[in-house]
Amino acid sequence: MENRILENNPLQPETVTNEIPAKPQDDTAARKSKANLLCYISLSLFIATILLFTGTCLFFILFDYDIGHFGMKITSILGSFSYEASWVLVIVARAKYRENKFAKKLLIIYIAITVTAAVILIAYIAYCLYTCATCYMPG
Amino acid sequence: MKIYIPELAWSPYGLLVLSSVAIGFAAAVYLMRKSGVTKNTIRYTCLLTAVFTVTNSVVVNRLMNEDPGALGFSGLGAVVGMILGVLISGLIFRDKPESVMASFIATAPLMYGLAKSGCLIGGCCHGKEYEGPLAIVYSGANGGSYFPAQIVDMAVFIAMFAVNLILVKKMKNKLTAIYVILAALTVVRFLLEYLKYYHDGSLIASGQVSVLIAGAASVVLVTVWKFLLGIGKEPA
Repeated sequence: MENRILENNPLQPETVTNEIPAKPQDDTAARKSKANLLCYISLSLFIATILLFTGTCLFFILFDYDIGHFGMKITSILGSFSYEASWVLVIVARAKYRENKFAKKLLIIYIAITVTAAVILIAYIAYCLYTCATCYMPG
Repeated sequence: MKIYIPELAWSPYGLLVLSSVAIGFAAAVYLMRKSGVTKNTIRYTCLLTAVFTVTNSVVVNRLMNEDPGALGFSGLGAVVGMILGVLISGLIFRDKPESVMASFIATAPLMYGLAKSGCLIGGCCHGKEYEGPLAIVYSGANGGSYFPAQIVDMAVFIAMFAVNLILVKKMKNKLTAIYVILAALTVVRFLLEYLKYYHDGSLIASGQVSVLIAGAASVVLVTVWKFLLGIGKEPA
């Protein structure tokens, strides 16, 4: 049936067979490119968050109260914006381009980094509290 | 009868606050499932909202705290962060957004009320000096006998959560329920500030101004979100 239609069709068969599969491929490539762009922006923002967090620590360690406290506030605000924006973008990529593997992997990496950072922070605080509680000062 | 809180070597404050948030999220998930929100929307909304809630809570505490080395949580920051997270998630998924928002707003007092157990044991947010029944007595450097402001907070906010559950279930217009709950939360939190040790006795103290700003910001955010999603408009 399909062959008969193609035989009777005045259009060139090559033209028909070339055009029909070409469009979904273009769509797939465009979707992949859009999803990857979202993921790269998200990843850049996540890396910026790590740099800003390092900046917060440096302000705390290296500067006196006035400059250090002001710098910590600025880096904290910028860091929270970039951190939240990175999550928003990766979730947009996951929601709109469900087939994209990069978005899926990136989301798993974000979850893993956030959980690891939280565990390290809790362990560090527990260590500090334990050290303070068991501190022995002779004399 | 007085309640004696011992001085602990390791404060469970952070653990109790994070557990309260987890319990609140579980309640919100239950409400969303009841409203027929898809699993995918619930999963990503919870993830995004958790990130916004914890990040904003820590950053607002960081901004309000004068001690650069201190690390803590801000209840107001958490509420605004939670609303922002749900709001952005609603814009991304557009899957029953008003039911998702109503579920989180209804459970916010549960999270806040349970988190006050951390304040009770940690010794922060305590009441004014008081020697009567149910006074909270702390030992150590900041010791003293105080009005049980944290216990009142817990009781009031958990009761509000129960009322919110009825409101969200009974009211067909979820958006109206959201506004009613936000207004009630702001008023109650404003009034409870009078019990706190840091309230200076004036009609409106600085803490209460922060509550009013956070309440107004939440209402504005929800209203802008409503217009962006076109909730309440007749379909063309």
